[in-house]
Amino acid sequence: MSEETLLSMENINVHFNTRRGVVKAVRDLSLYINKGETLALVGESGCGKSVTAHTINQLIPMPPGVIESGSVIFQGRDLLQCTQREVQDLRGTQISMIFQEPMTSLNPVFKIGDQLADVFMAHQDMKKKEALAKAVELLKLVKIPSPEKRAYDYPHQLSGGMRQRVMIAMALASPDSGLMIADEPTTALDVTIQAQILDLLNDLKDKVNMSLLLITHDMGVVAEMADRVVVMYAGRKVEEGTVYQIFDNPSHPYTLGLLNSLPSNDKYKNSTRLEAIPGNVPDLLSLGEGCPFANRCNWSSDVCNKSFPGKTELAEGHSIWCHNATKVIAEGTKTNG
Amino acid sequence: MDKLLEVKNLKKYYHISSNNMSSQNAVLKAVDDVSFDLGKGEILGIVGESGCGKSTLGKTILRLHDKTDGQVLYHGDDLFEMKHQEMTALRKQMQMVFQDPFSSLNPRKKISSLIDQPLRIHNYGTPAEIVEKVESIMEEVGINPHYKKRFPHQFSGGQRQRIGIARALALNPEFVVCDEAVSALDVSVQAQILNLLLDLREKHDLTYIFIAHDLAVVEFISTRIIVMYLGKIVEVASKEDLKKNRLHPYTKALFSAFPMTDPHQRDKKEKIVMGDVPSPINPPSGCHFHPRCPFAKDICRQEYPPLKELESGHFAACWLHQES
Repeated sequence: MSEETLLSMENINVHFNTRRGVVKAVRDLSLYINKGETLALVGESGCGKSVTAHTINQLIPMPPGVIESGSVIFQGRDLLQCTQREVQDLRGTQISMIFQEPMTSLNPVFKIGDQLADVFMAHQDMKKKEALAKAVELLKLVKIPSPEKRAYDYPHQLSGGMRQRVMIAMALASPDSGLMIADEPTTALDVTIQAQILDLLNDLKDKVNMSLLLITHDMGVVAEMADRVVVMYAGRKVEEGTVYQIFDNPSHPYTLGLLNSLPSNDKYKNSTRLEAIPGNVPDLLSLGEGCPFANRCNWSSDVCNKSFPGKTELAEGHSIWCHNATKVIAEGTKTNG
Repeated sequence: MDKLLEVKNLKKYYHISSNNMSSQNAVLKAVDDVSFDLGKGEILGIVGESGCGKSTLGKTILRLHDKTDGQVLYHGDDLFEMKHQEMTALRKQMQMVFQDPFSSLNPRKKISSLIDQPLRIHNYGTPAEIVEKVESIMEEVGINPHYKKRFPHQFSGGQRQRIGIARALALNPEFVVCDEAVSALDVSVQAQILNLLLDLREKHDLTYIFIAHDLAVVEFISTRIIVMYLGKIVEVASKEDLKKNRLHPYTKALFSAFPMTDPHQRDKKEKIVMGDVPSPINPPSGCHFHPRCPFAKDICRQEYPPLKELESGHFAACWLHQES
């Protein structure tokens, strides 16, 4: 691939030591993001997608969290070997993050203009006045109407969509935006607002040439936004490919099941029942070394409970991690067609 | 079709105490002059964005909230005219499934006593009969009766929602309001619960009102769909009609904003640019949607359009499709 890699994670293992035992939240995860690309990290609750994001900018609370092994290479540097101070500088300048809850991630007692200006004052040694002017500029960039006035508003005076725009503005405060991590950026928003925010993110991505790591559980958002997709289940990467490979030719039993359980799937036009995945997401405490999806999988065999499968490459850039890959591909497309 | 429920000009207003010194109290019109019928066996979906009044409507229909004005006729009898005893008897017929399976179950009660509570309140039968009923209903919703001595926290979200459904169905109701019943669940579990609701409906001849903000879910499960905006119904149609022909600009905008799960479609989609939902406390004059509507005319700013039957069974409240 000719594109330049911006970030690559290799064999990341993140554990949490809890009173009930060790939770292996992320296991042997490797992924990369190219410059200017949108990578979507998809999965259900507890699959480790947010932990992965927090590993990148080292927001994992330690203890109880432990990054057992692995490396996070960002522009040639291993972030896991950097000091707190170095990571902190990166966070404000080249890696930024938007959180899910625009209601709780802004400080309620400061005006939004001041909160935005803070970023510039902390990371670029600007004077207050200059920083405020920059803040207004950013509010304009994220299409907040009458930004000069809004900069003097408190968070509670803004709607949820507007607050998320402020969060995005804050993330854009970095001068040379490298990577933006968006953790469920639209989950708390109504669909008409969600559409606007997604549009905005796409616009900005082109404008400031950043890469986007989009964490979501919503396959619709993935289909609209992503260039490439990594599907996670219970801490493991189970499928990786371009957005077209994943949606046109889903090949891991979990991805197949996930797409089949969407009520918007075309095949349910005249049907009255959904094809649900049986069972529940497993408890991360009781996972063994086998494939975590084995107990819900139609194709599982003895070997699935014993060890996690290796990679099966289906096409360039499209891989699944499944013991019964050939069988699933032969039969899976049939049920999906 | 037998009419199970008729809602006539139902209004539910909330008086908001003013936070400044002004003497005027603001009024929030959560449900504003809503009328519709519900036939037996229907699954009526209600969609809309947050604050559109869909949950308030669901609760007012069941008389969990008092009304401000209007009527709710259940088999022809007005619920709000009923005495306490009559209402209690009728509650057996109408139940509700709530959104959050985490906060809607008492964490200190065992599953068996959560499910048998409605049975005890309504004097279902002898203790032995109640135990038998609890076990059979648990089995029906897909929870092993063996687990009945467990507490809610020992179950996953999907299982808890099954328990919520078991509670609602324990008294063999004929009408169930599901308020965002699957929105807190993961997609793979959501499909299981939707299937369960459909199975139970077939088996027990149930009628549902299904309130949700997820358009794909509502489109899948409903037979007819109501679209609400700021307390008002803007469009009502059968699922098929609504798919073919969306008349109200808000319905169009809402459905086009909903992300499609097909990456090939993403560039073909028409983008409808819209601002925020206005505050329901002081909704815009005339048609509440006009500030966000690309087709707004003068009359839209002045007068609220009536809900009119434009095609058979297909109602919309929009000046674009009718003369003033």
